[in-house]
Amino acid sequence: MLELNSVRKRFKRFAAVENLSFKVKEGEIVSLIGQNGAGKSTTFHMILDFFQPDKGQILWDSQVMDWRFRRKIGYMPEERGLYQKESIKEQLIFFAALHGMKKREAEKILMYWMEKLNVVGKPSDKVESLSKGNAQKIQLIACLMFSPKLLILDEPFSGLDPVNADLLIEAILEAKARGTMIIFSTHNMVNVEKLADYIIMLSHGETVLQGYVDDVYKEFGRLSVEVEGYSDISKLKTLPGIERLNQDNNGPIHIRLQSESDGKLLFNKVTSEGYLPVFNQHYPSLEEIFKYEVEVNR
Amino acid sequence: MVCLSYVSIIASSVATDKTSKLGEILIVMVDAKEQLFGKIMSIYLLLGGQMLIYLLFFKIYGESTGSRFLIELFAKTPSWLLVYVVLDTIVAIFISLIWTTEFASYINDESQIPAAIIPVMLLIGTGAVVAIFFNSPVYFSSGISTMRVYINVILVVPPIGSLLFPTLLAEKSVTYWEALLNLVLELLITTAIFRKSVKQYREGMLSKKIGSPMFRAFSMNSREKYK
Repeated sequence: MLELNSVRKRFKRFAAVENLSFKVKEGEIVSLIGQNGAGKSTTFHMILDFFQPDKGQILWDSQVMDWRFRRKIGYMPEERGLYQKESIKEQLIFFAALHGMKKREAEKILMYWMEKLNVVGKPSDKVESLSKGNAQKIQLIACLMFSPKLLILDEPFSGLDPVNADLLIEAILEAKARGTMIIFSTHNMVNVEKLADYIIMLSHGETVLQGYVDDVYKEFGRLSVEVEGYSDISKLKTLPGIERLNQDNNGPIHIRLQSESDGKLLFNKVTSEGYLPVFNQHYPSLEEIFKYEVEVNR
Repeated sequence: MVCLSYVSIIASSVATDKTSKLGEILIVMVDAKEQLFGKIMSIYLLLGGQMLIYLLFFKIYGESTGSRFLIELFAKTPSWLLVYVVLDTIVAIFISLIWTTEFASYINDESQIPAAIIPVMLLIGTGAVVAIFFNSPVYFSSGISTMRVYINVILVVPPIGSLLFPTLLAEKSVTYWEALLNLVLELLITTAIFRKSVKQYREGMLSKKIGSPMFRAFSMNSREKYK
């Protein structure tokens, strides 16, 4: 288990990370969410022992984290890079060897992951001939092929189309099923909803929200409602319990309730006038929660 | 000359790692200290190979022409001087490589490689200029004390001392004890620089910015990028 206890890192007067605490258990996925400069990469760099926290501790199975643990970590940094003039095979076998893997074993695993991630190209192809998406997949393979105990992925979905993003998600879930601890950062909340067990929202180094995804949803309650097929929006504005509402180009009406029980009153009102194809009272999406938290903590 | 040719190899190696944006990944897989040591050891292997080729060449040349050049060279050179020269060469190359790596860790563009090599070239050049003073007949007999103090001080700066002492020893201008003391001093300084370099190398491999205006000046691309 990886554990961060009240970790703080400052660069001169700038507080990059303040009082951050969380745990990652085997087979668990934790997502760090935050805008640029929120402290996500700094957190990763501290876990990787690139630099020490000013305060607090980072523990791996109750032992203080140091460079010896790094070889158990698969890391995909935000800034992607590979030796452009080398072939996929040469490069990944070199990385595997650095983790103590034998050549034959590495070749076998490389083929498995190339097939699994649908990499277009042969192992003998040079990296410079690959598309950005395929190069990104190769970098993920470099992290996965030695079966790391901890996988750290900094913005793994940036620059990937939805089809390739789904392939990446499948690969991450396979690593999770094998018991790998996974931490990833992203701006894309849809992928957080698909992957994360536990989320931490950071803003200017401060933790503004953290918890298991289900608990976070429950904390916010089913306050969001979508209504389709109801035309007179002005009638809804006067209803009690409506915090705000808006409609996009005569499309669905988005309503935020003051409390979950106000949904019943709204339902009765809109259905009293006849057939209604859609009435959906749901938890806010992580994107809505994120925007809300950023606004509140500004 | 050996130092100069090897520093460019190590500068290119660090530049390749940095420009491939692999710094962070490599630091996770292999500690900065091990990486630095690995690069330096591979250069020593190269040096060993190079020396072996020279010796083989002279041996084959000697056998085919009947020349006894190599045998006489070794026979006439005091064994202690030979040992000292080997140790001294190891230290001189080591420190040249360390300095270069430290400078090269600031590189963000292959066009900046000369910027990492030039400071070391200047040091080696200083060593050569000082050698002219030091080996001149008037140096020990004259009373230019300020110059002598200055030269004695910079002799401790690695690799300047390493470049001078073999010839001074051969000319018997210094004793073995003095040469050994200088070697020990240089080793101590080198160790301290190496420790600092590991930290700098690690930070340099993680950094995406060019901090030094000198390095900006060496690259048009970077100058445009950081306008």
